Amino acid sequence: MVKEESPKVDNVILTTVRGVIRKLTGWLFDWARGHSPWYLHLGIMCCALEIPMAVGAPRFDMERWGIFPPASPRQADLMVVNGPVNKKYARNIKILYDQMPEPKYVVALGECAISGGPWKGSYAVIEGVDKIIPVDFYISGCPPRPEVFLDFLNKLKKLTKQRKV
Amino acid sequence: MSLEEPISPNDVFNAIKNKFSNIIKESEIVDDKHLIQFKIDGKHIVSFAAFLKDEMHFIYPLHITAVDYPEDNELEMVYHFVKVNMPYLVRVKFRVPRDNPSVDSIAKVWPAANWFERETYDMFGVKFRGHPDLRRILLPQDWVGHPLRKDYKMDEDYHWEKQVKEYYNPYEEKGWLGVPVSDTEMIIQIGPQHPTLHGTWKLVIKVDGDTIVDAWPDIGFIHRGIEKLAEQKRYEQILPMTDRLCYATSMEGNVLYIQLIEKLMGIEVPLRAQYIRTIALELQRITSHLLWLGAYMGDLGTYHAMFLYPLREREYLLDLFEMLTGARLTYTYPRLGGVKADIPDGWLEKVKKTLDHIEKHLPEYHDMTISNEAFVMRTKGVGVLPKEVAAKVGARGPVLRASGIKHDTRKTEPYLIYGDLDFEIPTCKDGDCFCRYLVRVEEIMQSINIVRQAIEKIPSGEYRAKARAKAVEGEASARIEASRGEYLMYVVGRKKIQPYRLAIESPAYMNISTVPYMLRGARYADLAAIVGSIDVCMAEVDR
Repeated sequence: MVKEESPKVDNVILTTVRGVIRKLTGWLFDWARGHSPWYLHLGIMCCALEIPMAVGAPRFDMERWGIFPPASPRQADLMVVNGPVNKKYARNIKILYDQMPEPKYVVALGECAISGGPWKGSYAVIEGVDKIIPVDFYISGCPPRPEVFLDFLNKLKKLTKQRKV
Repeated sequence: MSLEEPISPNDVFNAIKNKFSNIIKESEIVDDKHLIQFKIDGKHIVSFAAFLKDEMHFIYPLHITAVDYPEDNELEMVYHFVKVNMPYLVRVKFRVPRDNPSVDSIAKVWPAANWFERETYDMFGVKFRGHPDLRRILLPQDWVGHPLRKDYKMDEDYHWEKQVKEYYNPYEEKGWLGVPVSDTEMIIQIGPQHPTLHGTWKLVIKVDGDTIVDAWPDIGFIHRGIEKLAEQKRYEQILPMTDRLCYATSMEGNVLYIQLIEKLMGIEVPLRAQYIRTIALELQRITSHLLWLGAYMGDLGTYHAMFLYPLREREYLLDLFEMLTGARLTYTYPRLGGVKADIPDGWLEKVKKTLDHIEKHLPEYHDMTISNEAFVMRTKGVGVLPKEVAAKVGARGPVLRASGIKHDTRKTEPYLIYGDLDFEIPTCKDGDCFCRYLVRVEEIMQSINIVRQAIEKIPSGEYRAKARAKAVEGEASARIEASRGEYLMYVVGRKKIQPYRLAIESPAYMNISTVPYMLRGARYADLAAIVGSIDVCMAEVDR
């Protein structure tokens, strides 16, 4: 058996200091994060018309709550997967997920992303995105209405501020 | 003889029959002269296609597919050809053995056949001799088996779990298709998740400096296998899946599918239902074009004005759909023999009011757009698809009409009540992105006009005839003019309550295949303008 080397003293001190700072100031980060959840929008199918387009359009206008879909996964707190995940596409979802910074949440939006929906039993579709990446929230609907998504985001904001997520 | 010159179905029939008397096994004109059908000897398909193209001036093969008959140990190839402004299709069929099937490729004669042949290879394993680029199109390159064959086993699973774990990249080592790259050139893979592409697909381009040398669209990232699923479902159960064919225009998939089944089963539709369907289709066209307008303007950087205005108008139209059908996007509204429910009270007045609103504001947006120098500079003379090329490669709908070919199924083969209505088909000569914009904006105005006329004329009466799906034997094909172009479905029934084969041809599929022709020689910075201008709808492309 290989003997494990003990961690260097410098590292131990650094991690401890960092941990203490996190613990003391964590509420500040969560408070800030709770104000503007930016989500990576993985538009695959129908829900893509409702969730970034209709929600971003003048009627629902999500930017008034500080919600915005950045173009890059590296700026996102939240990943919204909508639509059926195909066997050809699966690894791309994992690549995008790994690029997101911590803390990160994943939302499976719509029936296809939850369980395969109408495409259940197809040779090409994976039944649910939770087989590829861990999913934190499920929103049902085919497609869900824009109001549902806005309601979800506002609840998420509240939970983040209360440090419950 | 030119592309647009009319020929009557009898003349086409006789000309083909005289020329190919030795290879034609059966020939008939059916379906009230809307369909000319030939059964030929498969060895001569190339000369047959060349004759249709060069002598008869047919414009493109509308669809190429196959049907599997395991009991005969044969595959039946089915070709549909279309001629500009003529109310008939030519359907050509022949059989090939099921084991190791091979057919001569017509892609050399007609580049528009390229992707259809690749799809048939992917789904049925038919090898096309002399095809320029025969590889899988919808499924991954290392997939095993051909799904649309009747004996395909689902448990031949693909190694996606391993890919997820290891980020396995089939192209990593080989570059792209082994394409030679010189010192000044570079391969760029865009997508499959990229804001420019408006959907989940991949565009691989080779650039020299900032000039695009060549491009290869890679699709199939949301392939769901609708055609296979449809074989296990009853005729009525397939309807909700056609909603999700093209999510931006659910009504078109619905109406086309229902029309196809009505044609197969010989079901009559009351006049009022036909009017309701027409109004719904045209409202859907406006919705789709407004969505395109918003998205395209977003691409071109006029984000905050022209992205938001069209989407605002679209919301009013979605309200109308919600009132009519109960849903914002996925309607499942038509039924066999009519529609689900009659129009609600006060709906027609609301439609008129909304149309007035759009008609008032659209010219304003149009002025804003064409007076925007940035927009004009980025679209005029960009992504040119000349008339001859557009016809050859099979561009559809607004892309085809922007290249100067006046072809619209609503006029050519009037379905529903389009024959009684008075409207224009907008065309444009230059074939660039600006023309595609002009054609679509003018189409919105024409659709408003159509809806107004239909509202004036709508009769009272039954909105739905009593009809049920029957287990019929036979085949049918129906086409409509969707927002993105000519849309065809083909069904084979064999005395079962499920269809034996449902084949779907989508216009956006062909429009994506024309992207390389537009991109060659363009600048890299124009890529967003060119790709956006064809109005892709990936759910419809991948099926």
